[in-house]
Amino acid sequence: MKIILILLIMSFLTVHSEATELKIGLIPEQNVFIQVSRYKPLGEYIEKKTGIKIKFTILSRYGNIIDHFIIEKMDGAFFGSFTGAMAIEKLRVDPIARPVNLDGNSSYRGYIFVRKDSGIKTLADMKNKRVVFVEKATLAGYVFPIALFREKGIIDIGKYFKEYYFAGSHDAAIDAVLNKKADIGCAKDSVLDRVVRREPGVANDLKILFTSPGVPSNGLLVRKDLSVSVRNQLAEVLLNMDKDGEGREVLKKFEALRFIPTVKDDYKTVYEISAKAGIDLRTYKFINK
Amino acid sequence: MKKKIFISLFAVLSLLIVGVFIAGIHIYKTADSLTNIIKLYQIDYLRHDMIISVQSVQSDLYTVGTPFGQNLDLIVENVEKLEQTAMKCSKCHHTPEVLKRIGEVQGIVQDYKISLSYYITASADDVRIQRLKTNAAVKGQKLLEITQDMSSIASNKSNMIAGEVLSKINDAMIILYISLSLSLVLGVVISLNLIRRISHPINELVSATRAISKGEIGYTTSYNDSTEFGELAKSFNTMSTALKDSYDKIKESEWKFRILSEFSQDWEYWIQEDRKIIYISPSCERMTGYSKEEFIENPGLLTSIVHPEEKKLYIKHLESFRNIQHDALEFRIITKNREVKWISHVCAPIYSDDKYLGRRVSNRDITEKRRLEEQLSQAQKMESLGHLAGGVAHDFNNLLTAIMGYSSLLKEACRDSDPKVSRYIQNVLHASEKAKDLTQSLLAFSRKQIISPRSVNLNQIIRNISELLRRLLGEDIELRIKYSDDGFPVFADSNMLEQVIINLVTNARDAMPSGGILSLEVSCEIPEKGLTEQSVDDHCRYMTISVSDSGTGIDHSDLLHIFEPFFTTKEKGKGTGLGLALAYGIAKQHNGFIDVQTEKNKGTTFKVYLPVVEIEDELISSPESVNSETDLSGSETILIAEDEESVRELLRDVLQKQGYKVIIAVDGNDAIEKYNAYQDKIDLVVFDVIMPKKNGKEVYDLIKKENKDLKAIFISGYTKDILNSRGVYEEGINFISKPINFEVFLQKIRNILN
Repeated sequence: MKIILILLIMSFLTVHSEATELKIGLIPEQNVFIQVSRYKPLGEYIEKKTGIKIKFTILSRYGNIIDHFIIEKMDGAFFGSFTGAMAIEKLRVDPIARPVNLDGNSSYRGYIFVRKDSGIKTLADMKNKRVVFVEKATLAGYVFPIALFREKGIIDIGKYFKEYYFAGSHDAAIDAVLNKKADIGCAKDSVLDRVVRREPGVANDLKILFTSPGVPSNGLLVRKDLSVSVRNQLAEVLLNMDKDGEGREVLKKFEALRFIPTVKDDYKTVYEISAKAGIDLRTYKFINK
Repeated sequence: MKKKIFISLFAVLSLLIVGVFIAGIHIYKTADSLTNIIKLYQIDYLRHDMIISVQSVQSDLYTVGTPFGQNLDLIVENVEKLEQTAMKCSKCHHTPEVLKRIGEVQGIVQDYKISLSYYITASADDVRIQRLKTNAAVKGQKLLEITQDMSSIASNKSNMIAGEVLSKINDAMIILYISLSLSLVLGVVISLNLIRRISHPINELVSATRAISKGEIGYTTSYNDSTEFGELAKSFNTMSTALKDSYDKIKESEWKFRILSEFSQDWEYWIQEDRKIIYISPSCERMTGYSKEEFIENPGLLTSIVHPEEKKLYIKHLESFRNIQHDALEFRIITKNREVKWISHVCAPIYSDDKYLGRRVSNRDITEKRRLEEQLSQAQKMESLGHLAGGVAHDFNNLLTAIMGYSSLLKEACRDSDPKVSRYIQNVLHASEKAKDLTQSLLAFSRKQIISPRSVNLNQIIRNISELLRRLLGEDIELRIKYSDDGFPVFADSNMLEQVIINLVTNARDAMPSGGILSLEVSCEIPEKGLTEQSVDDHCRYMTISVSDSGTGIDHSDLLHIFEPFFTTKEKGKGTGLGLALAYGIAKQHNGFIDVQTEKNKGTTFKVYLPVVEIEDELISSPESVNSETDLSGSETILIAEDEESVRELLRDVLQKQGYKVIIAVDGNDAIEKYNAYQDKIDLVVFDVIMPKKNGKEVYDLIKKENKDLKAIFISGYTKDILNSRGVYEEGINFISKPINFEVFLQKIRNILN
């Protein structure tokens, strides 16, 4: 009995003790090296403001973020909209804040695009073509196209398309279409915008055929038992960083205007699209093949 | 000189600076090359890091997805390092060729990153994943090759630059050595020149200071130039001149002090607490016989010369050496020639700014003062004795007057009675005569006897008694007489002087019981100062009679008493003790004195000093003479004024026996009353000079005012001198001294009345 009591006390102390380091996961939304370099200034800024060391850990794949969150004892992660909703359901994490993109939107959309020179203009043109997805755990890179295809009656994509595969990241998917390694690509608009900002010619090479409804941009969600003071500190720093010069500089590197408060309801569209795609977020298990 | 030193130093420094500057340029260039080498090596390190990073990433690449694979965070970290290394490279190079190569590397790195990301994030289609992996691996290999190639080129370049650098370092070293050598040579030349220029005036000044220290005060150097040394030499000369002035002043002051000090009759010295004498006046030698040097070399000499009887007192005095009071004491010293001297010692401490420096001492020779004091004391004692003797003699004379007078009357009255009675009376008279002689001697000692001085020649007096003296001495004593060539007269009673000579010769004879030589010498002298308590001037000459014997001498203790009445060293009955006292009194009464020089077992010299007079044959008084043929009887009335009853009664009896009528008065007032009462009858008044109430002279003067023809005789036991000093005697009066010779007395009465 005593042992149980001691363990409970230790557990309580562990849960509620003030954190000195937070381990935050990042999804391979784009080139992992670019992703890390994009988040690094933000981590340093939070670290400076809160005094809490921020350690980012990047994942090689979207889907395994749920398992890794538990295995690697992460305190939070910048989830994509789909992985975020899935984490809310599976890990019971709480959303804190999400960035407002440079275009003023705090959400992104999924694109289904082709090369202009591919001649593909309709869904029908896509038949027997090669499709490149990002990951099975991305809304823009997989769930949205599946929901669209299903809505248009394409249930078995293996049969409808000549080939489909998972590039792993949105920019890899864009790159695959541009390099003619796939005919149809699926990716999120914000990554395509970044690629276009780096290589403006890309905009002329690609044609967007379908666009999903807006879903919350990649926001910070933290484990449920993270102390209130820490999550308050994180929220305060993120939500106010656009109000000081240093914060704005960091936001600029982060390619965002500011952070805004985020709650579970903001993921409503994700739930709807997932449902159209036939995905139950609480039980969804996938293997990219 | 300062300017020359500055210029010299500037020249050396300039040369050194030029050398260092040239060497510095070479070193700068060399350093630039070295920096390049270092950069090249740093770059090589970067390339090395880059190779390591590429190899690490490549390793990660091949192990991704295997149990040995690193996690993604580490891969990302390695790739970041790789990229950072590539970025650093671009910062180090400026040549377009190299920049191009670096740009190429960086581009490959970016491609490599993309390929890696694709490979890492790929999650489906194993063939595709393998293809992505190969793609990434190929890019990594290419990156590795380019990097190694660049490293090889850079290494060659580094070696080439290193060779150039070594050559430049060598050049710089040679230039530096040359510069330093030239600076050293120039420095030595300049230093030698400066040393010569500095040492010459310094040697001059050193020689000058040595000359001064050797006593050449005021020495000046001839060195003269416009440098600081010239200024120093001028200042030195000024200082030396000022020093000489001060020295001369001090010398002059010292000379004055010495002149005064050497003249000082007192013996002065400065003694330190350690008994060391630091100054002593030259008079010490005159006073003690010991020189200054002897006192300075032997501090104990001061104590050793103190007379043994006062040594204890002196040592006790030394114990209070630091006593602030002026100490004074008197003690005797024994001089080098064994002479004893009395010293008056006064000393006081010397302080300078509260620092005790010893004591200053002044010793004065007070031997003469002491002797005079003793002489004065002796004289005062003799004077007192004289007064005593005179007083006794006076009273005794009154008694003798009565005894002798009545004895004479008794003798007359008993002429026809038993012869035995007459013989008895004659014995009384005989004893009275002896007593009279005794009183005369006492009076002579007390200078109260009546003398009859006149101008006499001492040679003559000696001649008169020389035969008498030879008989007095006997055959075993040789008498040697030496007369004076300067036979100046003295004013004296020759009988008295004969008595003095006889007394002195008698004493001399008695001092030579076994015989000897007795020298009698007359001479004319000016006595030494201090020989007598009387003031003696240089022009005052004295005739002296010296009586010297070769006898036993007189003890010092006896010497102080020899002139006292009744002092004698002779056996009882062989001397009265009045001989020398009489001689002393007579000499004094003649305004002279007696000096005694004696030496134990060698003899004694008595020297009688009598002042020389210029008037010859002056007769003041002559002894009374009695005309035996004069009738001494009378019938007149005589008033006798005498306070001494026995004398008064005797006079009355003597006068009445001669037929005179006698009226008696017992004192001065009584005499006036009796005279007033019987003045018509009184023919003559006999006054005792000294009486109670009014003395004889006063009574005489009162009566004389009314009776101009008053006839009077004065009688007294005192001499004329005493009476004169008391104002009761004047020239021309009739005076008879006691004890009265009645024949003379009656003769005088008859002479006056007739």
